[in-house]
Amino acid sequence: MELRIAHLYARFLNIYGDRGNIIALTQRAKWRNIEVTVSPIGLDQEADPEYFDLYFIGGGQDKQQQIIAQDLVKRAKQLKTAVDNGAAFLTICGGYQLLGHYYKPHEGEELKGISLIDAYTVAGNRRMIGNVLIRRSDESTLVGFENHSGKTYLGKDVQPLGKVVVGNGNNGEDGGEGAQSGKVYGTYLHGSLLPKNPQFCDQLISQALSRRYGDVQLDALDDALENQAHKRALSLPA
Amino acid sequence: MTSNDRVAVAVGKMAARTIRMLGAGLGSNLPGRVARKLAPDVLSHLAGQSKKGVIAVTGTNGKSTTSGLLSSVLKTAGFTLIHNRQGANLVTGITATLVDAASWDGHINTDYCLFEIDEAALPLVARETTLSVVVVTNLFRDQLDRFGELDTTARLIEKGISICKSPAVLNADDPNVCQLVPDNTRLFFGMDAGYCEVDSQRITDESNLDCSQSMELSYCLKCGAEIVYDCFFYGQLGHWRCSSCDYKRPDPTIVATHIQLNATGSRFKLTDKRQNLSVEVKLPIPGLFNVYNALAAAACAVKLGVTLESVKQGLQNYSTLFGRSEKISLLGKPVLIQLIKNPAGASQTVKAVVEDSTARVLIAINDNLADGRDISWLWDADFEPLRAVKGTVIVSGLRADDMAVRMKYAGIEPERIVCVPKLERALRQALNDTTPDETLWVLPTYTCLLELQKIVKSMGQSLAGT
Ligand SMILES: [Zn+2]
Repeated sequence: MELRIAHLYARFLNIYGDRGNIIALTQRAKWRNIEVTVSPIGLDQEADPEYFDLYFIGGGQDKQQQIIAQDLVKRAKQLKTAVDNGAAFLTICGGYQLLGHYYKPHEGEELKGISLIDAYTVAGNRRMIGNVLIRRSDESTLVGFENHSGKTYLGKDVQPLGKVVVGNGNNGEDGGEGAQSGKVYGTYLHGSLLPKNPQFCDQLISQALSRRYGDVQLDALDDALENQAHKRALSLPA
Repeated sequence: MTSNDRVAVAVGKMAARTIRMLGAGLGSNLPGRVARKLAPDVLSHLAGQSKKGVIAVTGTNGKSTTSGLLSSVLKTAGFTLIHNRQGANLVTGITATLVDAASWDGHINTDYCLFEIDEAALPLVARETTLSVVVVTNLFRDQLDRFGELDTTARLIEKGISICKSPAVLNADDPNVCQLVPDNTRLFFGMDAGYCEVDSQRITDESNLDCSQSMELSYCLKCGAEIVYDCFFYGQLGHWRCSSCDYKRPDPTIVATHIQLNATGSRFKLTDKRQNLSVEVKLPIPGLFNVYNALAAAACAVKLGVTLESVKQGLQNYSTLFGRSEKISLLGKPVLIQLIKNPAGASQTVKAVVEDSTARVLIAINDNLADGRDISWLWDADFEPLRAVKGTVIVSGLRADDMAVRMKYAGIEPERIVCVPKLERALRQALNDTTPDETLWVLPTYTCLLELQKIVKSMGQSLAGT
């Protein structure tokens, strides 16, 4: 088997340890003898919607966000095709915001998103910074670190990724964190997210592989170190 | 000196003395806080007495080492100075340093005041005292949870320098630094292309995770386009230019060429292009990042009129600071401690570790406020080369578990990763695993370093030569 990952804007959105997510996806696939290719996709660079199994977009600073938004809109149609073809998406922070309908800054024009997730984001006055713990609908937990001032509100076509136990989540108001719509995920969790949440990482890998290989059973790995770090993070203060 | 100031100095000194007597930590900030309360202008009045002026060293990495090197150079050149060597680099800490150095009636007798200053504190200090020169080492992303964004840090530094219209000594190789204060007098330092380990082809090839450099992208301040490199060192440092307009790396005046690194130090040729003079420098601390620190110190000294020969002597006379590439001996084993706090610095330190074929490794990660509470940066640093290190890798600190995971995903076999959260126990175990002809490299974050300092003291450290 082979896992094909498209890392969008790898060179722009690389400041919050999001590389850790790529490392986790790659290593956990390799440890199971699944081949992995990671293709960095830069501005104006073609990404064949038939080819990739998993798309990853990280977070960046405000300045980068504008450049990315312009490029993303240009490829909106292709990315929708990719979703229809069964590709999985993991988007973090800035990437997550741009998968929604729009991002409205304090001043200046709205940044148009690509509406893969039924959500919108408005600039907030307070930076939400700290450790986060969320509980998913299957009772599993995700741990990470948030650092954003944008407040994201979900529409009715999308579920939050989990309920906030510690931290702020999407907007610090409605108790939701992240978004999930089919195989498309958005979240504010850095940390990095996937290394410390191996279960979720594996879920992404198998959902991505299922695009071309159907139902995939991943071999179990020894996750003692990962689980220890996860467990430790459960008790971190916000 | 007002009578208010004199009272403030006396009370501050008394506070410092009491704290020292009680042994309650280093007490580096409290006397300053007390003195400022009693006399808000005390910093201004004390620093204003220095005969030749106040030197500020700021930037994300290398403030302490750069100001330490500069202190050594200025002393070698025969100047007296007051220096916040303890690293208390906020307004209160700087005030405390001055109070400590002042006589009981509030007099200061010194040529220079030399302060390493936290990026965020620079505008506050500049408002209270005239900075005769400001050195900016570099602007890496660092503790994003503290400042929000890198641009915020740049704006704070710019504001600090602008308040006194201070001449600036800047790193030409850092596009983030070169954008600062274009209208001020500026002196640039930089490295020659000779030391260039990555060609531009490899920089743009990101497909190989294993050899990916922790390269940080920058944007042109003038037109917003991406900065590209003709030669790249690390982080965002290199010979850079805008990919679209004519904005590019300025030609530095103070330059290092013929750089040779080894496990205990480095050698390079230091040139002052304006005077067309060169000297050979043997720097007693390892790592390419320390060559930059030496360049920054040299450039500032040259700016102040110190001869290149004195600069050379001063750099070579440098005795290290705790936790900044300092080599000590603990229980008969050589130990080298190097603070890590952000991806660029940590990646460079890892490189220095694997240069040393006798290296053993202990990494200690805390997530207290002073360390940065977000440990995501561990995933942006290149720890992968540590695979080459022999034996166990011991991880410690409040976030030892996270570091253990990082080590595993860096490709180190889980059997070799030993997690000992308590730092003293971790250190003892690491020393136990180290033979006298090996070197234990300890890589702590800031608050781990402070803890380490106490532990080492209690273990009765002895200096290992030089
Ligand atoms: Zn430009």
